[in-house]
Amino acid sequence: MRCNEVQNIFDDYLDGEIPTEESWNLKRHVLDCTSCQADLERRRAIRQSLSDLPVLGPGEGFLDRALDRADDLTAKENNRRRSDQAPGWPPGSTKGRRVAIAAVFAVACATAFIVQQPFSGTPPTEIPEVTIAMHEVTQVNLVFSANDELQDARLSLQLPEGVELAGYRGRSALSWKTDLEPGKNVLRLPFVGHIARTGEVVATLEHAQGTKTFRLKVKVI
Amino acid sequence: MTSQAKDAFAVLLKPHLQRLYRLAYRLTCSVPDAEDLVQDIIVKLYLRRDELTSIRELAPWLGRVLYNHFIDDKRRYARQPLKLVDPSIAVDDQIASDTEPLAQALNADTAQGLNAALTKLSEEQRVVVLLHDSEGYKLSEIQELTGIPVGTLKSRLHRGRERLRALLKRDGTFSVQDACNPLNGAKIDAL
Repeated sequence: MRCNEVQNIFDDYLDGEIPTEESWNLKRHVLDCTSCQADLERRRAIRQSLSDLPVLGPGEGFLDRALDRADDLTAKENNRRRSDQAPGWPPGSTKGRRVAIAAVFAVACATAFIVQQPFSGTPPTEIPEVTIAMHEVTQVNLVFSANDELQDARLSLQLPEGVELAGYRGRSALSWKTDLEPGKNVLRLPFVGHIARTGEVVATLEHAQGTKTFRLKVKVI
Repeated sequence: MTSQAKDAFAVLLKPHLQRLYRLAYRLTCSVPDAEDLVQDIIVKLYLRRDELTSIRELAPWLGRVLYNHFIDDKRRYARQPLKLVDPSIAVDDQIASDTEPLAQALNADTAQGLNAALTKLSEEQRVVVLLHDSEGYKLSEIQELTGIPVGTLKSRLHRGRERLRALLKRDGTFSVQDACNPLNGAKIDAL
């Protein structure tokens, strides 16, 4: 067999999809050809790495949370059907329009949401806090509520010592450019704590209409 | 949902959850999106829970439900990651030349480079490469899942592998944002 003939069937060989005789011919060629030998080994190594690629998550108790969520949604849907027949506030009522932009922080795997007071010209009285387990990835939702569309906003995140985002080891500051749509805008972040302490995450949202800073206490245990 | 109904549903679903989640993760390359995808079909399946007990081959059926849901709602699950402003983690699209020395075989340390190279494949290629070479699905199983003919899948797999080899440097490194990095799922997304 010639090199190009052998190389053409390397993948089928690794998949175990070529006849025995052809397989023997391939092996014989590879034994005598260092170039094909290296090619085959490289393909084999890539296959191994693909096979070893990790799957991250889901978070602990995901099924329970998912079932609870399904339960909630089913109940809400039933309630909505019932309330459709009764008078009530329409979505996006003036009650919500007083808020220019607000932030809510929530831990995805917690049952209760930690809510920051909506921004209305005065700073929030209390900084929300989340607790994360050391060396484990915890998904934290940052929810930004905007009345109007905000284009080209820049979100900057300053992380406290001992807290990182999974995949960005050693980086305490990150920023993104994004557009915000009217309503709730969610950013999910995979927090990982490496030091048992409480620190403060500072999220700054800059856009044409101004800058807002939100704070979140992160307790690593 | 009564507690009893919820428990029965959980018992039925639990043996398949890990495979479903892995499939969702391979399709979305993101923990939050994979969780959302599985969550969505759990809600959807609950409404059809009576149907579940009558399905003989539940595992492939569930896989198809998940895949179809992913395709139907692709825009939602295939959101563009946020653009990082920091230039230090900008994409390096350089393709390795054949003249570079072979440093050593790929190992666990090169997973990041492999992930990075995977981002450069088309979604069609990436999905079939990940399902076949990472998850061990046979082409016939991927056909059953996606409805795409085996011949087409084989061609995508071949091209995907070829592109991966071209993208990966000889030592397996590839300096680019991680394909299955959790932050790829990080998005600002209107509810």
